[in-house]
Amino acid sequence: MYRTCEKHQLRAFSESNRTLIKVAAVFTLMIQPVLLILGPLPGYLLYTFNIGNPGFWLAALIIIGLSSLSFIIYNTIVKPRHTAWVIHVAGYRHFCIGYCRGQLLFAAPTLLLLALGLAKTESLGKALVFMLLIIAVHVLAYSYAATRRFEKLSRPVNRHPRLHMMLQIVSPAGMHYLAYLIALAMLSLIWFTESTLFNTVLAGSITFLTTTLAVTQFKIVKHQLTGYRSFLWLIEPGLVRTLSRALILWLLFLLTLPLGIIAVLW
Amino acid sequence: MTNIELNNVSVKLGDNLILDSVTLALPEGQYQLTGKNGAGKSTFLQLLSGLIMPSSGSLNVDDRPDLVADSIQIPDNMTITTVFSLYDKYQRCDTTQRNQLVDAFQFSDCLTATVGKLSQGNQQKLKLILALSGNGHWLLLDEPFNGLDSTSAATLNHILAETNRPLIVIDHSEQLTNLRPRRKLHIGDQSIALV
Repeated sequence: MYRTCEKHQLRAFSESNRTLIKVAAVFTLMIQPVLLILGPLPGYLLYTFNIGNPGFWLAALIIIGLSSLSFIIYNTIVKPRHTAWVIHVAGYRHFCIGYCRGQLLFAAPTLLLLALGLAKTESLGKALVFMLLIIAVHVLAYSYAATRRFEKLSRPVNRHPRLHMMLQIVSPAGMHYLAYLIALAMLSLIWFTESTLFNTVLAGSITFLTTTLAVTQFKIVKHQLTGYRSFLWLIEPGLVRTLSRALILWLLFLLTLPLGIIAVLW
Repeated sequence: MTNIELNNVSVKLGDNLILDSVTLALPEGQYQLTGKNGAGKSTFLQLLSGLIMPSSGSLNVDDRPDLVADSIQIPDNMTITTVFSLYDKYQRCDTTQRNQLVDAFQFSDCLTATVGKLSQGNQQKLKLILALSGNGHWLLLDEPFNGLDSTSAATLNHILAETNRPLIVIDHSEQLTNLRPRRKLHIGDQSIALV
């Protein structure tokens, strides 16, 4: 039952964010070479270096970062609004197992990179134990998160509404700028080639992708602020226009910043 | 007899103490739950259905109850057929009774729609059909008449009058006319008592 609910939420997300999904797919394709070369590195460092080594901690940070990213993306798409229904019909244990399974699937790319790193080590046995330990930690973390989702059913009070609103505005921008970071890394390829055509195509692709991301992020924020717009309309309809203008300025800022950086690099 | 037993149960929502060390034994029967807005009526039903855990104390409900409440939200893009098949798989519902309820609530035209396309009243009918045909023992109804037209409200009254299932119902609209015999549970000041 949880999987059916999850599937419907994933479908709803992909139908309303087709552009974002296409952009993410293109991004993933474009960074394939980087992923294949550098991807196994964090896992390899984790398996072979000691705890005292800075390389160990750098690798750990990368893995934690990637796992956290997949965790946040999953929680953003598969929302807790149907938790009560799933628990009511199929039980808490079913919900917990379904949630952990869904999160593990989303963490599959990270776990795959760890597995690739494992393949490069010499002491396979030790690395395998280490990897199983990492997977076990993931499962424990997801079980705890499932418990938190269940507990939130009885704690619907929003203690920090202003912080919540700021997070709703900032979170998509945070993901957005992460994409910019990846775009900048890709733009650095310009330094390794003298081909004008390649550089032009690359810069054009990055510009298109970041512009699409900015527009998508604007739509996400606009959707998230719909509730606040309705509330503002109740107070004074003019305030809704003010909010819309603020959102447009925010979009313009997001668009011009990366274009400026691209122009400087160019 | 399937009872509901609360033993020194406290329930806290955020900073609000809803129930404070309540001890109560409810024998099978039909109850109307009353109390002011915000007293914790809906919370109490969610507690009995297992959606909320008590902060302290122990709760014993012999069998899983069926619940109709706003907190139960079905995915908008799920078809009614899928919803029914999920219930069949996990609840082993009485499909004959469900078909009778679909006819009684004039819900047949909605069977091919998705949940999100249903009006509020039809969504309420869906929840009622699922709960009334469920295999749980107790029936917990939180404002069951919300959004129902007069014909459907009369149908629901008739069904509740005929059913032998023990139930607890919250009804501010006072459309419930046929509970027999009607006993009142009152919630207020972090406590519940039979009136």
